[in-house]
Amino acid sequence: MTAGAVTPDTETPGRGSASQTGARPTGRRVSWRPRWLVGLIVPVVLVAAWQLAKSAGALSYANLPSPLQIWDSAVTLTGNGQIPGDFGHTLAACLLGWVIGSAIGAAAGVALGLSRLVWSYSMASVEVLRSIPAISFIPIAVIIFLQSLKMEIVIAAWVSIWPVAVSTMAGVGGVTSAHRDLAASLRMSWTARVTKLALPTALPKMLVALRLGLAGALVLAIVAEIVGNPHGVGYALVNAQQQAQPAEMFAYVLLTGVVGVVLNALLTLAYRRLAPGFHLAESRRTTSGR
Amino acid sequence: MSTSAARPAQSAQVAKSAQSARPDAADHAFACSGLFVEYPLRTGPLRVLEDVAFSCAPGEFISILGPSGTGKTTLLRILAGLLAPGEGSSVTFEGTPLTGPNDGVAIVFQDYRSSLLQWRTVRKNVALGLEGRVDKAERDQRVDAALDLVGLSGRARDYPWQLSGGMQQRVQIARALVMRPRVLLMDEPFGALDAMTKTQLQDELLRVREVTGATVVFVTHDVDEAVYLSDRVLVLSGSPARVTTELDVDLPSPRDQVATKEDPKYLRIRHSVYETLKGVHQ
Repeated sequence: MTAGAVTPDTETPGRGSASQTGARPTGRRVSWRPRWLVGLIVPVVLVAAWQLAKSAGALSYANLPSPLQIWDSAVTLTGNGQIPGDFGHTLAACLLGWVIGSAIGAAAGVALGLSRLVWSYSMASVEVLRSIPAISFIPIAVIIFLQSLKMEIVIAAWVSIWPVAVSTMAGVGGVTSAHRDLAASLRMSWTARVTKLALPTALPKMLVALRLGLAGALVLAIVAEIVGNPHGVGYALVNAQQQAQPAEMFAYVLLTGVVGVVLNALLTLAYRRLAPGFHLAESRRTTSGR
Repeated sequence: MSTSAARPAQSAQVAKSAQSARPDAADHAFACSGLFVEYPLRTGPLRVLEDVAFSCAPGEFISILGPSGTGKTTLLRILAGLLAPGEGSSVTFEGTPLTGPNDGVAIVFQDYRSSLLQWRTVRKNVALGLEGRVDKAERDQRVDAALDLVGLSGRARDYPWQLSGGMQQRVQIARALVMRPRVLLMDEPFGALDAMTKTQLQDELLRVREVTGATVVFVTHDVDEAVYLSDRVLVLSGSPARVTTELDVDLPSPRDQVATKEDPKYLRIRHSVYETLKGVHQ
């Protein structure tokens, strides 16, 4: 009944699919904004409870700071340039490694997906290498590249390669026979087939992998700083621990979470901007159940 | 002298195909004779087409008509160069043996939904074949002309899935026309459309053909459609299939959905096509 009342909205092109599924009343879209605000209630209540418990002395752990102490530390560390500097370092390592690793992964995925020969020779190695936890390579990377930014970048790149390679391979192999016929009849070059058919076909799968890779690269960059390169967020955590500054540690950890969310959001935004048709066609395909 | 006289007598088949389709080279868009195809199955090769022989004059509109599953699409794929015929078949395009897809031949596939690139706008779908071949100015101008010809100028920036089925098929036709083909191969292009859209697109196709002068090879299982559109109808039937009947459709043009279909001549041709097909089913 409520769904019927909002059908005019579903007449808009691109949204028509919502009415086809029927199961999802469009009324939900109206409540989207309040719901987003509703999501803030839980963290605010939790932080308030934490602060109250700490002030009332109900939390006995001496090294558990209160939210206000964490806030103060964050403000101080931002003011004296430590937080911007450390996050700048970690983000640079993470993003650079992720870009390099994704590029290698995409190229490898195209080769694996399009060439039977490459696939036959390499797939076993790929399966083994990607099964090894990337984190276990950090000690090796430290011994080879020493305590350097390069070491961090290599580790971040390494962890990004595999999801992108495997999903690109699967996506590129998904070019339909109809599109292959089309390419043949238009006498498209090999490069054109890859860039205009194979990669767009692979794009939705690749995006999922790129997000996975970015999250992994951030984690690995920080771990590499904890155990290897004495810079950035990871080293700041170790340092704060050794100086018994729990509030600083919490400030860094919570900010890392925020950075992760922002990176993911930026990536989603970039995707919608760069490949609008694809994004829309995809969401339509999924909502209409095709 | 004696050898040349003896040759036709050796095989009736050779003589027959030589008569109907061994014309002089460039007088023909397509010419085939002794054409056969086999699909390898686990139980052995399945012969789909056998001794298919016909030719198609430049500018001619021919329909290949037959029940579904006879191998019409297979035949069209051979003409398109997407499928190699059996060893020893003779297929020529403009006098040269066919070895693969040709410039000058464009295809409109049956399933527009799977053939269009859903992530590209209408305009970029149409431009696909020209990319990397002509400069941007020429490409823009040709895409505009093709879109205009199929009446889609206003939808150039939309995505295929925002269009109706008839419009999506028009995009495919524009994508073929933009290549300025001398031959248009069409595989049941209107088969998935409703009756009203279908008649509308039939008339648009005739108009497009009038403007471009392209040769059209049109595969369909719709008798009325074949007779209404074509200069000549080839009936493909049997198993393995061959061209069992050729009918000239000497109806005046431009054709008209009402007047042409009331023309006694139209009814007569339609009648004899149905008679042929009835014979096939018995």
